[in-house]
Amino acid sequence: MGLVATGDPRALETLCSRYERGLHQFLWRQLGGRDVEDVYQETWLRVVRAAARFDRRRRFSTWLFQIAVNLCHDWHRRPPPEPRDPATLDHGADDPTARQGDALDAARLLAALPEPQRAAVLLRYYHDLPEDEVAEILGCPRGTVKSRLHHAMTTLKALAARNA
Amino acid sequence: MSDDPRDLLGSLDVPPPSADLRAKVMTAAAPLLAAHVRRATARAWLRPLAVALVPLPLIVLVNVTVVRALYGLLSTILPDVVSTYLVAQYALLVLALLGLTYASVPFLADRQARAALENLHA
Repeated sequence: MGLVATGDPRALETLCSRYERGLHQFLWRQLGGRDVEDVYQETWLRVVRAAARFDRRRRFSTWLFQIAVNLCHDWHRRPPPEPRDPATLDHGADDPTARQGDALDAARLLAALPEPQRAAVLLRYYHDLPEDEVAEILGCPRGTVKSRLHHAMTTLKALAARNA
Repeated sequence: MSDDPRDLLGSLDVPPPSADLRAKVMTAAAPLLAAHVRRATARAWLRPLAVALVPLPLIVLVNVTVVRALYGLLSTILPDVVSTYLVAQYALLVLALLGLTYASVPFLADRQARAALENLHA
């Protein structure tokens, strides 16, 4: 990370290749597949911009996901896009969540969770991060993470039961 | 039912990132990285310059004292005009040497900074 702060492109490329998959998966799931590449790119640009301020005692992955979570938060607060002309809509063609069967149900269930709960679930269960690290990424106490996970599970069970 | 959301959500498969995603990031980050290089070079350049400038007042003070003492000594044994000429010659020489030395500091510091940065990025 220190090398990125001195402008070394190879250092950035190494970091990108190391975290590409994990970060992309997190953003995809958190954003429901929309604007993933833009947010992904902006995450790395923020990393480069703030490289000199990075505290080397911290884990890089924690910092990276913290930036990603903040960007997702900003993304969710944006006003919804202008409605398109229904005549030009190609239903399902560019909507990544418009998949069939279980995958669609799972995506809908996940999308139904409030953003903080969704982030907690993704980081804890789909990125296998310990609760302490999830708490650091989300900027909240460990107890809050536990409660978010509990509420998320309750919501998911209720939604699954309703769908069934 | 267990308390693991994966039992309800499954594996939440995600398509792999597009092949050119990393290249896009690198292209977008290039100007920021270039700015970091400029900042790092400037930092490495300013440090030796600051270190070189710190003893300058002392060097000037020592030289002024030497020139005065030399003039006082010479004026007791030589005519005033000759003493002034010799001391002025000496003072000019010292001034020229100091000027050259300090003028070379930025160039040497810049070269050293670039070499250090290249080594770091190698």
